[in-house]
Amino acid sequence: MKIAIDEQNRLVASARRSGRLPVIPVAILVLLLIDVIFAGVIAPHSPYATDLSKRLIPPAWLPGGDVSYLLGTDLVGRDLLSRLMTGARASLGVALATIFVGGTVGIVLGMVAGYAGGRTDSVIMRLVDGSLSIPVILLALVLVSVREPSAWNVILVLSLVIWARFARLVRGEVLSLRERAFVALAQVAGSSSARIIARHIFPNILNTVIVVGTLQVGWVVLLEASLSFLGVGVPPPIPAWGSMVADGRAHMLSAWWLSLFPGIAILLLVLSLNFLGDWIRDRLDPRLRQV
Amino acid sequence: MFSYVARRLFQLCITLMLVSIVVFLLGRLSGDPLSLILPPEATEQDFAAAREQLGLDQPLWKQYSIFAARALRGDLGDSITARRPVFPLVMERLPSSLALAGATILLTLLFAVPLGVISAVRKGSYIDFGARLVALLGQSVPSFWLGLILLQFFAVQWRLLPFGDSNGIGYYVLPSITLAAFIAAGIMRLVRSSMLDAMDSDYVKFARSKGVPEWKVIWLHALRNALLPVMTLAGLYLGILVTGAVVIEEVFIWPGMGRLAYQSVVTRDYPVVQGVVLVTAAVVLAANFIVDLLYGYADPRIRAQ
Repeated sequence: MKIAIDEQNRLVASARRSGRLPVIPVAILVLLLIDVIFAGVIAPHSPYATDLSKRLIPPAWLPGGDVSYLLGTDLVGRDLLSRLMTGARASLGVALATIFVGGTVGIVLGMVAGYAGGRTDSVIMRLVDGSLSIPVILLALVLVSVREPSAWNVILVLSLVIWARFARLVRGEVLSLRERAFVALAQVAGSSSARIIARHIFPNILNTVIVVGTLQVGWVVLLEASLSFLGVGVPPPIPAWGSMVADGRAHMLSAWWLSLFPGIAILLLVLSLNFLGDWIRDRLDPRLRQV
Repeated sequence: MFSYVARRLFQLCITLMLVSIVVFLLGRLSGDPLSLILPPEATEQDFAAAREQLGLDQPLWKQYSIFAARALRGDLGDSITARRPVFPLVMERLPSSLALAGATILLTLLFAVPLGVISAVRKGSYIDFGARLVALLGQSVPSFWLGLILLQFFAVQWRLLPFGDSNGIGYYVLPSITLAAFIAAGIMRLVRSSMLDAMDSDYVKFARSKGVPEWKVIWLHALRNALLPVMTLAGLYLGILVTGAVVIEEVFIWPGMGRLAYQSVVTRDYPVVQGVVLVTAAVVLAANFIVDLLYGYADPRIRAQ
């Protein structure tokens, strides 16, 4: 009992230590969310309109720059800032959809595996092992070589990968919850397995799920960016930050802004997500520091 | 111990089989494989003959069992573009991919583990703050972008390091640093947090009260236990390593399996893609298996379960 109290005190202390909300990362994320919703209205130019007379204008603060093209223009004269603003949709939108789809599947299967145990558990866990051992990007390459590239395919591929991480963690949590008295009582009271999972187990894993979810968004953003860098992400001409880096790749010397700014955008987004994820974890569930 | 090894080995086989089923089914989704294999001027009779020869007129489960039986003998079909058997084609690329993975793991262990330990021991110091910031950056930077920037400065502008091949240590520097950034950051954070727990434990207090020198307490007593959670996640990190390698090999023109797979997708050479996925999955699963055995060796409690 003494140990349990010590442990609890330690967790409370570490939650207090975690300090205030990380203001700058949250501000960046809020701005990006606004951008995702209103990019079409607030972007200074059309992200698609090409103008060859305005190609490769450098950022505004450099000689030859133009204030109305703040971050410069690309090879076909499209405004880089407007494309970055619209590209946030592909990055953040795909990532959030993936976390939702993959997370839901992973949570449900993880709860079933942990609660049912036995053969169901081992089948689901082999699926988890399998999907963790197929390299994500290869799977994406395979899928895209079979189907046409689209945002939905990217979400599908990334969900196929991310569900396993949720399932593994949720199963672990459920394994210990299953032994607790309130589950036994519900069983004695005659609740069905589905009801026990939904009403008694799920609320208890919610914190874990929120923590894992936030911490995985950043990783999913990086994966999505890698896929579009390789040309198997959201198809052109829809701007995505990863494919924008790839487009500028051959012009790193002459037009460095093409690859630099989208990369910084990805870095800032993921960094903000990770700061926020760490903070939420320390608040809700310091035990999960190892996730 | 024997039954533990046998059980894990059995699980490995099942998982590999699941992967092969997925890969097989995806190949069938791509439409009639014959239209890729046969020349465009092939007649109806050619199609029928090839269909029978390749067993495509059989039910799906039977086709899979033929595919699996061949795969077990190392026959993964022929590459459409190279007109050579896939298996040796993939195996030729395996060593340089493994070498890059090895260099990355070495780099990770050399930096992440000591830094995590120091960060935990000097919690709250400037070293700790700096190390955590670098780790957070490492986990947030897109690796292909980091790779492009390193390549631009160190290889193109300053000409300090070579790229585009894998013959010689110089070629390993940039790709392995790029690949290690994400993984090392994760391992460093993991080592730090489990070291914090370990330093707080009764056995560390006991060792100190026995008069064991502090460096021994940290690097022998605490670290040994703190590395256990790192080992449990080693499998996950191996998967991340292989995934990252596909992109990084493409950025640095590294002659490995990842680039082979990527180029095969571009040329729609499905058998090669299939071969790379199967071989990679087998390597990752085998590595996981070895890590599990080491884990069982390092922590006797696991074997007992």
